[in-house]
Amino acid sequence: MALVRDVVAETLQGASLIPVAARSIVTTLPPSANAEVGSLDVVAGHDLLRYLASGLRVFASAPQPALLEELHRRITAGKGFKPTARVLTVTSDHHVVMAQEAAQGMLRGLFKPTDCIRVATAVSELARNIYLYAQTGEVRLTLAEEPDWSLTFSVLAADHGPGIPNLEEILAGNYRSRTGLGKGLTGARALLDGLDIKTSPAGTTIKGFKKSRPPDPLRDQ
Amino acid sequence: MRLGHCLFVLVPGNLRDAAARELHDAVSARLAKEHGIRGLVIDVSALSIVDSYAARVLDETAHVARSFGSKTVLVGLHPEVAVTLVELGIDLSALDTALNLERALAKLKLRIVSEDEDGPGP
Amino acid sequence: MTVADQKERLDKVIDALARATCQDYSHRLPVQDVEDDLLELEVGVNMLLEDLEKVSRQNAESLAEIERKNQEIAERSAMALRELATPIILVWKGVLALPVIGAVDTERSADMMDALLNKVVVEQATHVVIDITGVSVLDTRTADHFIRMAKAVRLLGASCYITGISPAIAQTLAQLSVDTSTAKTVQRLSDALRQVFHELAVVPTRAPER
Repeated sequence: MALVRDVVAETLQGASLIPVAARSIVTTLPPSANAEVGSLDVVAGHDLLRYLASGLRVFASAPQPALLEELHRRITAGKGFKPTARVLTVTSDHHVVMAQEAAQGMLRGLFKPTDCIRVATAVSELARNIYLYAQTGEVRLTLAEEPDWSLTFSVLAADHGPGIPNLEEILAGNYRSRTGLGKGLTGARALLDGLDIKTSPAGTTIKGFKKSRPPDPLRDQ
Repeated sequence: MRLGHCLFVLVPGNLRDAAARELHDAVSARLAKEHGIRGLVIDVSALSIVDSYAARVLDETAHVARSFGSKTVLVGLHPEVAVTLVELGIDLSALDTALNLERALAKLKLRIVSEDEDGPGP
Repeated sequence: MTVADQKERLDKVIDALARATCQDYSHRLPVQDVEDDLLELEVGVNMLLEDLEKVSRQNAESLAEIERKNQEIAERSAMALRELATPIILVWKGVLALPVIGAVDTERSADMMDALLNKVVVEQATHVVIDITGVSVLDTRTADHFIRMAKAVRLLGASCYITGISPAIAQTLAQLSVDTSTAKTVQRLSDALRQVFHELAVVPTRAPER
């Protein structure tokens, strides 16, 4: 099974890079390069791509979108990076902060700074609703790569709490929700691209997502 | 921390709900106990995220301050946080904001001065 | 060689040439092992078709290359235009002006808001003037973007003017209940700037009018 490092070396050799440049980039690759081809997840993979992009910028005078594309393709064996996922159990305000940090850490450098904060804030609202109103539940954060290489962040907040009363009224926004629960829901919805809520007295499941825009090959990655 | 007529509060990062409430309680206690505090400066530069709960605690603290005759100014708000607060539809009615400590103090001093000039204010 | 055979061969030549006029250079004439005048014609036509096909292929490759380069240039221009299209001007110490021109969609307004707020912090701005005279379509949704921008600026501690508003749009904004402490709406950019400088001039002696 080929290693990422070998594939990178091969690709760089095939490109019109001076040998010193190619060697230099390969010998200073981060540890993620020791993984097998096709095994890297989104966060590690894009981290590696960012490193390669800056290496190419140093040695080549212009950014090399085509070369980066090829590296991306070969490192992932044409299948794209695997989704990165983190699951957190939420039972206290401590976990709300952990969820915030997990979201920020996952998206740092991959989403625009304001979008990172939007997402982290929405995650915070959803996590807080769990520990305040359902006592215990789970928050799952996922970052996945789309076929066009844009990234989609998803959050799944699930609990077995008493459910959300007056959900329709809250979501219709006909009146400003006065409870923390309602504010948290409308807030999360305003900050994300989409929010889907299923609730009953047996529990609540909330799915939200936010997309990043496709990476601009001409912009510095 | 108190300096003259001003009370300074530095909000730590990664603020848990419990810590936020403690901060609110501590400030309220101080405002009740000490006299002559005319201004409250809250530095939030360590906060990279302010959600509806944190915003509510800040607003409540400012209301408490107002009831003791003190104005509140927020300093060090991150631009990204400003965006999320606006998009969350949160109105921080009792709070004024300033980009740096100097301006915060200027706002407080001027407010206090103009109030004294106008006579007993609200 | 019979006359019929010769006619057939000539027909084939005409056919091949006819196809060539339709840019099909793939056909080749069958060449017989007969040394006659027609053979010279047939070989000549084949060589011509060979050349035409080669040139045609090279042209197609060049065109594809040009197309690719055009696309690249278009993307670079779009990016440059995106950056140019959101100029934030420091008109005075602590005073920022953002003249908005053209179509404003959600993405562009988000970019503008990010850039503006960051500039406010970097420059420690006291006043911001957003001029929307040049906005091509101002519906309630677009107006909402600018209201949010103004609210966010105020939340950072600077005061914010929105200028370039016609009376009709002023009515729309009033319906969206923009209160004057959030954003002062003034019709002309020059009026807003005059007011800003007026405020700046009197800051040392009394509290600024809010």
